[in-house]
Amino acid sequence: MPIVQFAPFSSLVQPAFWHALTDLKIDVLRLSDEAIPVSGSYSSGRSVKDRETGTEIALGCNLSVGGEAFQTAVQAPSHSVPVTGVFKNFNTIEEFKAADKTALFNSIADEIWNSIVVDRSTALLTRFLLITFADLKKYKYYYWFAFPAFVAKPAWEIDGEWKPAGEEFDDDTLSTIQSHVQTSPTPFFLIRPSQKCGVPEIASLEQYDEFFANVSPEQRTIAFLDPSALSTNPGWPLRNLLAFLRTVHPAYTYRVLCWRDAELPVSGAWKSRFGVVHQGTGELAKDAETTKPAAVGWEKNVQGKLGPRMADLAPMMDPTRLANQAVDLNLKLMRWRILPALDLEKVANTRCLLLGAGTLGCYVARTLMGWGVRTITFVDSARVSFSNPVRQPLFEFEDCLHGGKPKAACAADRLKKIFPGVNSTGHNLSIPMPGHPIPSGSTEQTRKDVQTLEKLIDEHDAVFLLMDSRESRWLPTLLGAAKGKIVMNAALGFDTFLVMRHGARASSATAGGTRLGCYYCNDIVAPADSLTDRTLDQMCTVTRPGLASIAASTAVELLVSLLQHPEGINAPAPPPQSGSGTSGDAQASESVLGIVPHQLRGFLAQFRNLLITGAAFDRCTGCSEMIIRAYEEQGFEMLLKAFNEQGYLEALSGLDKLHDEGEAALESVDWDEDEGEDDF
Amino acid sequence: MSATFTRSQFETACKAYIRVHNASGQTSATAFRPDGWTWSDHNSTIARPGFMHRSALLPLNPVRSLEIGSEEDVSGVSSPIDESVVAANTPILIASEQHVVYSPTFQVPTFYFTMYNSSGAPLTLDQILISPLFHPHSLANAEATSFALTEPGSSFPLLSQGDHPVLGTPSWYLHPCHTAEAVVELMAESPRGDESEERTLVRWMETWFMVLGQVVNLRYRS
Repeated sequence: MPIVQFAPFSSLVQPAFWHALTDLKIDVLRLSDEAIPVSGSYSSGRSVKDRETGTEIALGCNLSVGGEAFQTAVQAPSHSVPVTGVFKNFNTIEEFKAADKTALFNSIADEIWNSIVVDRSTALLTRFLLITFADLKKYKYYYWFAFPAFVAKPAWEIDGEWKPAGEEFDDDTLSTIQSHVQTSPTPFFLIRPSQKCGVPEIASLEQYDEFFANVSPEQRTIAFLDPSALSTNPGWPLRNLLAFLRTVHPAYTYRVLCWRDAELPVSGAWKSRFGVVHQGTGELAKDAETTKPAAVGWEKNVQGKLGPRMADLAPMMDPTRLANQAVDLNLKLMRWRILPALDLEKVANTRCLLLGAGTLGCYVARTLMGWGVRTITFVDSARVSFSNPVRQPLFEFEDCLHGGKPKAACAADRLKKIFPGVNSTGHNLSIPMPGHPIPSGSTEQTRKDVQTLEKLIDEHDAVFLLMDSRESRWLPTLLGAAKGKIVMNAALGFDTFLVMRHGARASSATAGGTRLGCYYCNDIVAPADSLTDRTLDQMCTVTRPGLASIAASTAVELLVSLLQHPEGINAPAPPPQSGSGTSGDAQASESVLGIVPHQLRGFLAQFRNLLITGAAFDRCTGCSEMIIRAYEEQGFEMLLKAFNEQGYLEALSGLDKLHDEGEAALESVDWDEDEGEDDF
Repeated sequence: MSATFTRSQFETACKAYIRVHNASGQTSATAFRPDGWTWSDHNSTIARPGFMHRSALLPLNPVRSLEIGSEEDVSGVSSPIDESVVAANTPILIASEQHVVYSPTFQVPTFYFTMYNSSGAPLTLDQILISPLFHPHSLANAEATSFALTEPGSSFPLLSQGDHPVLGTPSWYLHPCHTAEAVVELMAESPRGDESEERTLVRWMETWFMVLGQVVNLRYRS
């Protein structure tokens, strides 16, 4: 006689269960690891036909827990029966590992055993245990189910084999049972043939004695809702049901109906199984009532070993990851619909250093985030003041209190608040400037500041010059040129702005094309102190309020166009604007986003933008080879001279000679006004 | 019958479809009609319209591709030898929640779904594509990224990730942009003269499921 082999339960956890556990842990349990009630459900086993082979695949023997698992008075889903269990959440993974699992398991087994021998009830036969550790920071949930079942000694055996229910019962009987189970699903029930004629009768297990009183053993049928769909293996609930029967209603054999037909069969083939089982020798157990049998039932993990399972719900629950996906999706839509060739990864991976966290810096940062840029670093030495928040969209009134927060760090924090996926930092740093001599006591601090700036520029791909003075742009212009970085420059006048990209260094620029200039190439004076002896309106950024966001957005879009151009930093400027349309020559210089101008000058008074291309100047105080080489050879000493000695840069670049030669000729030229005023 | 639905027609169509096809179970005489749906009002308002939903269980193929990650050995449990347990050879299961939601933009039903493994963790796009939910080869040429699947030459991703329009939860959906044309073309093949509007709406849904069924295997349910 073959031994009956039962199909164990497999846990099926719905995502809603983890949401419910998260809420319960945070709002109710907190640090408590008390055992609390939990509920789940199972339904009759299902199978599907495999498309390729045509064979039936049994879909497991599932016990499912969902979002309502911790609620009292749960209604099981249709065709399902509810089961209750004990839930215990541990506070640390160590406690979870070290927990006395055998004791927990045995306490449930004891409960089940007592329900049999003391209460003589079937209510707790399918009780289960669930232990968890919820790592709520990483949205990882470790869990382990146990479905305790008593081991019969000797084992249950089947007379012959399990056969289709249709071979034992007629269609009318089975249809009656189907309709009964559909209306009121119960885990276990009894069946006897009609006492008169017609339909069979159905009763609960608790009515066993009276219901079967005048029924011969060959006509007594014990049925259970069978979660297994395997043809030769009844589901797990039958084990404890048989333990119950052996103890409470001893018999030599039991006729068992494994009920698996949630719906009327399509072609008359009932899926339910029937078999007659007995214990090994066919004798009645005598000491069964007093001795609790051993119990088994820890669920194996996906590797088929005894051990806990883990659910990683970060992709679904971690708001940061959800935001990340959403940001990417939004940008990718651009690629799907308009620009299939757009290289978004290149934009997203461009590390941007923003020198200045004021009006321009705030708007530049926000537009960069819109493009999916993930590394944004601010440098600023000021604190947030009361005039800032209305014009600088990363600051709020609270940031101005108590002397104001440092702007760079405050802006970086705010970016993370807007989008946690961004990698933003702020550095409180003042950038030394030519014409602003360093007091000898501050030389060491300046040396450190310069080192910090050098390091920051090394660590980024694009440097934005967004400061509020002209001369503070000199050092980063030089460093950016020396290190071959993309340098973007934006400056504001009252109703005019300048946005430009600096050309590549002469020694690394591609041969042939015109090398594009930097901020200082058009100047024939070296940067000097422009802040001292100015009135307040000259020193502050007095500009039309909309100008900063226009200039900032233009600067970011110019960077993105440059990044999309195959030649990148060496992208040629478009030829001078020739009325309407782009010539063939212009198209050659375009990226997928269009042309990559060198400079844009915006005039708000006329609502007009002008594209300008300015060639590099070989005696420029910012980017000429002489200056860069001097910096590379002498390092900080050269910079110190530039900060302290008036005329040093002019002499180094040869600008002074040019100055002398051309002084007379230049006297009549009105060149100084517009460039100088753009900065303030 | 117009090419598209109004929102109230959608609701009528779904409810009628459920009434016709859930009550009888599958009758082998007719074509396959996915059943097991229920209508969810979900505090229905204009902003949160109702939708049709059901659950499904699918076996995973191939079995080994759904590793949940390696567990540390925290067992501490020994099990007595048990000859009365079947050697586990049941397939690894994946569960799917399926929703038919109205698309106000395209004015047609849209198929939304989530898929998760037995631990409740969501499946990745790669895992979803090899699952039996999709007919093999129906998506063979499409380009997959971690969050969307696009057919070559198509301006829209066929399958992508987005928030469920009613529940607001992350979900996968099949883009409804070509639904109306396909359904109307098929319905024109079998015009009926004087049938009730409800019958036409049900037929619209049946045809829609037929179109959807070209890509998605709708035979799995729980």
